[in-house]
Amino acid sequence: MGALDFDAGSYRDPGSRVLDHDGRVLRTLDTAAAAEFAWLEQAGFLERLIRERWIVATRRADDLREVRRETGSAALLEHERVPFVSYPYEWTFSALERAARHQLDLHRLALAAGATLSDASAYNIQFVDTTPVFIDVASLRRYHDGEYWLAHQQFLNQFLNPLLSTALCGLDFQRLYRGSLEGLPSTALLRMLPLRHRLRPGVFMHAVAPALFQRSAEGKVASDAAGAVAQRPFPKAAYLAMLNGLARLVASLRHSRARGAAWADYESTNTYSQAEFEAKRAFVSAYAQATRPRMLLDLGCNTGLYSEIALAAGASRVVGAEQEPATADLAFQRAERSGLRLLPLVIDAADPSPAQGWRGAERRSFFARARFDGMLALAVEHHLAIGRNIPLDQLLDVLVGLAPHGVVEFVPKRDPQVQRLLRLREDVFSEYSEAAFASLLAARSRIVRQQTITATGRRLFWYERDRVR
Amino acid sequence: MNSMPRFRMSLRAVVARGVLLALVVIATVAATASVAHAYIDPGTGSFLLQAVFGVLAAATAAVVGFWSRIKQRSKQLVGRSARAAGDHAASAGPPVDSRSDGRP
Repeated sequence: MGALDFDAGSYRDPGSRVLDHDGRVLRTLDTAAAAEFAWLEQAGFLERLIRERWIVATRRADDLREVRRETGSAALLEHERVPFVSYPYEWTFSALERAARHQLDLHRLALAAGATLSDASAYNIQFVDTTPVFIDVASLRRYHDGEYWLAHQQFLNQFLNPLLSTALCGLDFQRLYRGSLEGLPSTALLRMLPLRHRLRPGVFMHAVAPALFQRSAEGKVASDAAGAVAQRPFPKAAYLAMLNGLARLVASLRHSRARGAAWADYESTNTYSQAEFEAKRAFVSAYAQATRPRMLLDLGCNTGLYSEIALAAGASRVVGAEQEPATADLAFQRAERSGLRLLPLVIDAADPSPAQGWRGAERRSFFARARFDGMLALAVEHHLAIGRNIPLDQLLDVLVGLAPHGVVEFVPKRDPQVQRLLRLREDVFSEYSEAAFASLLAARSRIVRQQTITATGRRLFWYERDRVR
Repeated sequence: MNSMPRFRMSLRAVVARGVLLALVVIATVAATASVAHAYIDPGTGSFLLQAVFGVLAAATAAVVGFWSRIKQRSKQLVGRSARAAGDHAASAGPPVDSRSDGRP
């Protein structure tokens, strides 16, 4: 047996750690954690949570005695693998909202069954397409009468405050969150919260008051008071009232730039004629039908239109990467409404999520998680090559490296979109041409098919990496 | 002519306002009484806030319970006088659930 491959992000709970073994996702449990797990099984609660898809499918992995011995664990569990691991700072507003509701609903369900959740980390939620699922089975345990909600502040920092920063402050939470992995503290949120929102009852109770109390907690008087408070039981009714209040507040939040007309706006501002759109659709469909990717990356997915086309033509599952958070949210809503196996994420191809956290390994980079067997990069190349000054050869190294085959759209200089990018700046892109693009692509792959699809000269390339590479 | 739900709503609104006012006062006092300290324990503020929630939940339950007892008592009185008035009883509205709201 080889060395044990523990997940770098799984170190906080000494009683339970996750590891990857022979392609299986395993979880170790120490004696105390194993006892809690046995209780969940006996109460029938675990089976219900799995059946109703609240938590990831989990079973005992008693066959792996060797791993159990080597890890010194009292019990070993196996989890179903999530199709694509994503992090809250990559989620769209709607996705974080769904995750928050999932966390609160699961917690309320647990309390009703005499159980509780020992933490409220947003990283314990993963998405299977647009459906949230809770993955940290070890944080489910028995509820003890009168106990406090120790993870209250964690819930606020990792779920509520980022949502409020977007809904009420007009900021996209993703960038803030990526720079502050444990979430946005209430005190930081309070500094940017507009005055007019502060006295809304839900906002005051769950955002303003926690910040004021947190500030007061810097004093000795307050910390002595908290010590005294901890001796008194916390009524379950108050616990539930807090969860209910948070659930009501979360459900009332809307993206600050959400408009009913957003779809119409997009449809009317895209630069294709109907015939051009049909040509592009046919090309993408032919590619997806011929290659049937199991996990397709739609780089620059916009509102998910071509993800949907690829799924209809034969792709099994799509991860969308879109740098504009509000647009990615429209893709999320499209996927949810139409039940697509699509997970749109807020990813900037020119600045993808880095590896970060403890040891710089706790949260993996987007590229390290990229295991795609097909790719679409439509109307995105010019944003990177012209908009972000990325040299064509480097761009093609990355694009061709992301998946064994794909479709990439080249947008020439005479296209109005490129003209707009160049309008207010010096044109330093003398090497930028279709011929240069095609020869760089041909040096890295075999071009299966190509077709000019617009009057302005946009051209689609379907390429396949050489097997010998 | 079911006037009960509106009545209940207004009670909830009054309670919500009372809770908000109490929180404003407590939080303001807590914030002004604070002394700068180098070490910040993120759990301390949360504990204090939960303690306030606990007290408020208990107070709300007491107020709601008290209120529902008054309602029940007055309903009994009204019912008695309505019965005494004979056929006017029908205008007293549908039977009212005597359980307290129960929502903290």
